[in-house]
Amino acid sequence: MGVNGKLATALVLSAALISLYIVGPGMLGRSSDWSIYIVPVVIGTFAAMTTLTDLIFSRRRDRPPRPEITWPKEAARTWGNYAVLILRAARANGDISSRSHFERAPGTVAETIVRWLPGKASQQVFGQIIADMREEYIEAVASGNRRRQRIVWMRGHLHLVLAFVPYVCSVAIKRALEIWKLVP
Amino acid sequence: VEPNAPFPSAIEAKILRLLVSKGESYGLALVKASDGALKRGTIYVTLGRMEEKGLVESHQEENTDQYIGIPRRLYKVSALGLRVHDAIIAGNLVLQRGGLAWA
Repeated sequence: MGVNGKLATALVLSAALISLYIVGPGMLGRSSDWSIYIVPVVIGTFAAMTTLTDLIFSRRRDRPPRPEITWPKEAARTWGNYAVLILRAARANGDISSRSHFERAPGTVAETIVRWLPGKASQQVFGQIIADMREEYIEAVASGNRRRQRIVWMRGHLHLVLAFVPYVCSVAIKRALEIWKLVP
Repeated sequence: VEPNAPFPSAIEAKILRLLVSKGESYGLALVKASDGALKRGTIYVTLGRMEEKGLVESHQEENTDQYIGIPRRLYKVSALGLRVHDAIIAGNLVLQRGGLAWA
C-alpha cells in the first residue's frame, strides 16, 4: 500500500472512530458509564499511532534516493588552480545516471591560504598534507563511504592546523631573535 | 660513517629503513607502510628535518596527479643516509648480541 492509500485508510478509520465516539453514546443513550469510551479511544489511539509511525517512516523510505557518489576518478580534473571533482550520481538500483555534480576538492580554501606562505613550507609541508587529504578523500569517495569522507576531511584540516600553529610560532620566534640580534 | 654524521632519532631511523626498502616514496605512502609508527601530521616536518641533516633528498614529481592537483614531493635516501642506515643495522646487530636494540 502506498502512502496515499495509508493516509486514506487512516482518515477513514479516524472519521469512523470519531463518529463512534461522538454519536455512539447518543445512539446508545446517554450514559454516565465512561467505560464505553475506552474501547474506541484505545483503538483510535493505537490506529493513529501506528498509522502516523508508518506514514513517517514510509515517507522517509519513499524519498528519492540520495545520489551516491561513485566513479570520481573518471572525471576528476584540475581546472586552473583548483582541483574539482566531477562526481556522478547513482540511482537506487545501482545504475549510474547521466547526472553529475561538481564538488570542490577538499582543502581548496586551505590551498589558497597556503600559497601565501614561503615556498618551502608551502610545497614541502602544507601542500603535501593537502595532497594526502585529497588522495584519501578520493579513496573514500570511490568506496562510497560517506562517514570515511567526513573523517578524512576533518582529520586533514586538523593536521593542517596542527602543522600551521608550530610553524607560525617557530617563524615568530626566529624573527624575534633576528630583531633582538639587530638591537645594539 | 663520518664522526660528525647526524645521529638519527628512532622515527628518522624508521623512515630511513622504509625508504631503503621501498625506494623513492612520498609521505603518505611511508605513513601507510609504517603500520601506525609514523603520523600524518608530523611526517613532513620530520622529512624536512632529515633533508636539512642530509639524510634524504627530495624532488618534486614531474607529472602531477590530475586527481589531486598538487605535485607530490618524492623522497629518497641520500648517500649519507644510506651509510647511516647501514651503521644502524650494524649497531643493532652488535647490540642484539647483548640483548639490546637501538632503533
